[in-house]
Amino acid sequence: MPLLRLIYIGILFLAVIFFVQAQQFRGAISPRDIGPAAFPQGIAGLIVVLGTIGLIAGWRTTPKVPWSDVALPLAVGAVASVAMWLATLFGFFTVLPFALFVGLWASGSRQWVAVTAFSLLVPLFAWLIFVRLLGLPLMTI
Amino acid sequence: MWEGFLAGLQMAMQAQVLIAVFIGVAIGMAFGTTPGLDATSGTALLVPATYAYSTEVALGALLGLYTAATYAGSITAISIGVPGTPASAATVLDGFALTQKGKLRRALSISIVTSVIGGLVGTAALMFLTFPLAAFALNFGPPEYFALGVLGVTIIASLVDRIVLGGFVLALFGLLITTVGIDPFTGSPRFTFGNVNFFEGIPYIPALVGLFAVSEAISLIGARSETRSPPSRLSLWCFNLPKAAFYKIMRVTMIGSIVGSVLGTLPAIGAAAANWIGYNEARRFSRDGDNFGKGSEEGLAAAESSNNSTVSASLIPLLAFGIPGSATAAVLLGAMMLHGVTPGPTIFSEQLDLVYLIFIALGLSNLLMLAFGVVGVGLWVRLVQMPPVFIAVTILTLSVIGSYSIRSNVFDVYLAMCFGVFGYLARRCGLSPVPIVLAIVLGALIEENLRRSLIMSSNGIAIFINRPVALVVLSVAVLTSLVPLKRLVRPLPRKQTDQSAAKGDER
Repeated sequence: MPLLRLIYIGILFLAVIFFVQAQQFRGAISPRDIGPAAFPQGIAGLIVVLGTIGLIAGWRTTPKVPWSDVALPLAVGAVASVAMWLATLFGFFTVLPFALFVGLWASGSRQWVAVTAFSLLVPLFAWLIFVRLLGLPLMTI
Repeated sequence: MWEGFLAGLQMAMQAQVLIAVFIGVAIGMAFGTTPGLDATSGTALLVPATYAYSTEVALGALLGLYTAATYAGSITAISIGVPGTPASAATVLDGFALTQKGKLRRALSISIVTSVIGGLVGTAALMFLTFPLAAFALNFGPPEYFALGVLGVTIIASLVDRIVLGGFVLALFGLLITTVGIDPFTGSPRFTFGNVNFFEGIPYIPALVGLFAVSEAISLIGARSETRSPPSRLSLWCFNLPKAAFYKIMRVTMIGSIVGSVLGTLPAIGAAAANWIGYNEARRFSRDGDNFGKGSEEGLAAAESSNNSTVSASLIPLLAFGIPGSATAAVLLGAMMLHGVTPGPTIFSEQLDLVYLIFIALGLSNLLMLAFGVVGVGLWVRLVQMPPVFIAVTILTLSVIGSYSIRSNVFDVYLAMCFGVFGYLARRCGLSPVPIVLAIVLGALIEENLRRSLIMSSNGIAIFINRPVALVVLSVAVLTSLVPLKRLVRPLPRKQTDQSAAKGDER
């Protein structure tokens, strides 16, 4: 799939939304101030111009990227986000061993002993370093 | 000046700071040795962990990591022929050739010694150049800072640009992202879409962690089928560099160090380019130039000294002007801002002790790196044998913890994942995430100084023409912006574009 084109189109779409939204912003604090809208509108305008040129100029040379390469990051992002959502329900250190186990298994690791040991040791070290030593508020998730 | 130095020394000699540098170097060795990970992803992951500590502890750990990770990429480059970081690409040529000749211990010894020399030369350049540059920058006002911010973004955007205008579009996208949140001048919300999580803007730590660490983790998961040749077994002590061999490589080591220091000062050049340029320059001056690439000890020395000298040199524009010269320097800027430190000329009058602490921490990192390289290199080589998927899930865990811990907000974790997915996809089609990061870090500085300049001007944008420094810097920025436009007239051959896409970003 032409991934680069999709990225360009996505950025152009966001730039247009930002440009339109900025029209509703309040006025400037003084006659010399350009106000809160001018900078984002200028940037969004430049994105539309340069993005369109880049899109057209690279139309023929856009490399094709296999679907699997797009699915991989989406799957990783989704699994991590679901794990994080579950962590908000059951606690970070309760969910982490299961998330690591599932993640390693889904990534093709079949060394059960190593996977199980790793899934238990990483949360243990994370707890020791980040909660006990650094005092990060991970228990409150 | 001496008072500042003594205060910095006192700060650096605190047990906490020394331990932080030690830990930073150890983590940097691990990150640099692991192919796919580098100093930038390492520092991005370490920044949140240092949040709970004082500025000097945080800087000690981060500088230790930066220094060691840049060197440690050479360990895998030499032992298995795979550069641990892009900064060690040229090291493979002679380093791996020496290993194939049965001189692994000699190659690793040359690598560590020349890296330390390069690092110390770069630190000396940092010490001598930042003071006059910062004194010059003391006269700067909002127009000059606006111009410098624009130059920082345009140079990076144009030099890393492999896809037509891709660097610029991403840089502008990064600038657009920084406009989300409360407007600092009017106090009105911008692009928050009713979501309270956006009121403080898009936090840059989740963005850095996502673009550098999460995307690297995804790459490692994708590379799970790749097999790595097992490295040779090494004892912990493997130093082997007789005096005669040391004297023989000194000349090219100094050439590589000076070239690296000069290149490191220039924004966007970075250790990867310095590694190649230093190597080529040393070949021109070496009497053994014909053997470069065939297992030359001088070739290895040149490549290693040049990339490590850029580490300290890349901090020159950051300290003197507050403008980062590389992706890792941008992450360091983010870390400093997180701790309430604003790099730039004022830091020399307000927090001189911190400036000296940076110099001392860099020197200390190099010396500690020497100890790690001499004594424990066999240990780091074994890290290569760890399955990439295990490394990837560890990085993902650290990314989640890191992005959450700054604001204790789960929303930031989701943001990091979004940036990670975006960063991976962008790199997969040849776009580098570096311009977007630099724009996110510099965006507020650019907008605020633009608006301040126009408020203080009685003739609108004429203020940028009437101020010579701003005019020169903006002219350079405009000229730099024209570089990618050449591609519009003469685009890259299709084959090269495909290769770029397949290879992804190498920063």
